[in-house]
Amino acid sequence: MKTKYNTHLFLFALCGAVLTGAPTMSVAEAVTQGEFLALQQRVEQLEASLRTVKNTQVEAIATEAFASMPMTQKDKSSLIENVVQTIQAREESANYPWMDASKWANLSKGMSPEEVVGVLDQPTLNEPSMHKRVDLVYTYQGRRVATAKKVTGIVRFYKGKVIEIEVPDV
Amino acid sequence: MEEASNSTLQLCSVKQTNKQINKIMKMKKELLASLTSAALFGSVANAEIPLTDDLSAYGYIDMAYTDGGDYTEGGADENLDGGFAEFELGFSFAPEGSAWSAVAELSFLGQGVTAAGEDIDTKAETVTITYAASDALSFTVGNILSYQGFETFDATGLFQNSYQGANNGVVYSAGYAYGASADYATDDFALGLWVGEVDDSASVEFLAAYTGIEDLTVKFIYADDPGYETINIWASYDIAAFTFAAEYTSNEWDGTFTAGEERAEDTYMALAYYSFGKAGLTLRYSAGDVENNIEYEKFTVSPSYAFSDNVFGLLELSCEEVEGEDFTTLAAELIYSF
Repeated sequence: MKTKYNTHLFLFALCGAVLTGAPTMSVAEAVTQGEFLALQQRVEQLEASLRTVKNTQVEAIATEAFASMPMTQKDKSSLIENVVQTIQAREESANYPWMDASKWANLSKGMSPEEVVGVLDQPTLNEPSMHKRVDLVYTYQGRRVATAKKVTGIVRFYKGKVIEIEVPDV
Repeated sequence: MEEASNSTLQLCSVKQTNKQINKIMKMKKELLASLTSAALFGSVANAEIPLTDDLSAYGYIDMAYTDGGDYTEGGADENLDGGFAEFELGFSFAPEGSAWSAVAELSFLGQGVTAAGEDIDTKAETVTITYAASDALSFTVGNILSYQGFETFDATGLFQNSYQGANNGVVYSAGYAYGASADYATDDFALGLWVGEVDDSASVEFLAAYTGIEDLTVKFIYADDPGYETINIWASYDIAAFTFAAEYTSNEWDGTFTAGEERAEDTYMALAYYSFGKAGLTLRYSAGDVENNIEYEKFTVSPSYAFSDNVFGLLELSCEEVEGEDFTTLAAELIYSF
């Protein structure tokens, strides 16, 4: 546990150093595209590492907590999986409330942008379209917490009304 | 007012636009995922460059080629122009919950055929600070776009490549200008008043728009400036996959203001656009008078295709008759917006 704690501490410290150092660097000197891409790749690696560590930590805590409980091994495994799934679902709900298929089922053509935001929350991107019959495009984009699978949903508007819905594969 | 001349008739070549459409195109907001939350939650994998929640960037790149000239017997040489037409980069500052917002845009204009970035002209477009007194009423100061015109200033809002005037000329009298405006807009109508100063004299522009019937937009714009007086009226209507538009523009020029130029006086335009989904077809007819009793008539056909929400391409064939001479112009354009 101490080793994991040290690993977490190191990762958070590295993230902190990257985050606090980035604005200073951008002011002090220009960052080349290569440097930016390298930094971006490094951040993605850190995110992946942190995700793995976090999932491992949750499983470890759950395993430890249920180890002394009078249950069969099958029950314990099932319970641990349920706990992990619940934690992941809560995190997903907090960060990506639109990653809920039932919410997309409540959308319909003719809805206003405000109504869509009311159902799905704010979009990741809100941008105009080059289609002459599309004014605005709301893009909802993110990765599933459990699998890191990238999912994208799109809602298109013309004259303040939904005209097209691309439901994400959730 | 921003102006430029063209090689044949020295008509005003400044692109003009309908202010409201332009605003819509420019109200691009991005919610940028914060790197901090990415580190904490590990599940945010958006690769966008983080700015702030209040600051968004937008713009477009326009590549266009035109092949025009007098194709009649003994006509003038053909002209092939194009390449990089414009790169526009804008920033919008709109803090959540604040009544104040600001927009700053830079336009990098290519001058015909360019090589290695030569001949690029940089200009500021919309540079404004706005105070929203309510959802309907707002006050703006800065470099503001004219209310005039169905045809938009930016290429992203046009149904074709060229403008309705003779030899690709713009028929409106105003473009960007420094001043202040007050705008009141509801779902059914909009009113706007812009006031600026030119040579110690006031320059004003007034807008009245009606949008009370679904799919119909009607606008009336009146402009009074020491150099001109303009009335611009246009209407557009969407029905099924069609968009129809009609426009009338009347300019009375002060002789000293247009000295050495020949600019549009009374012009008419009718446009029909049909959407086949991602593809579209535009037909446009325009005609009118230019200063010095020059008359013109122009017909445009322009098929277009939206490759995605960000990429749009079109072809154009325009045939026009100016003072008895026939001109044919071909154009190809590709726009990437972001």
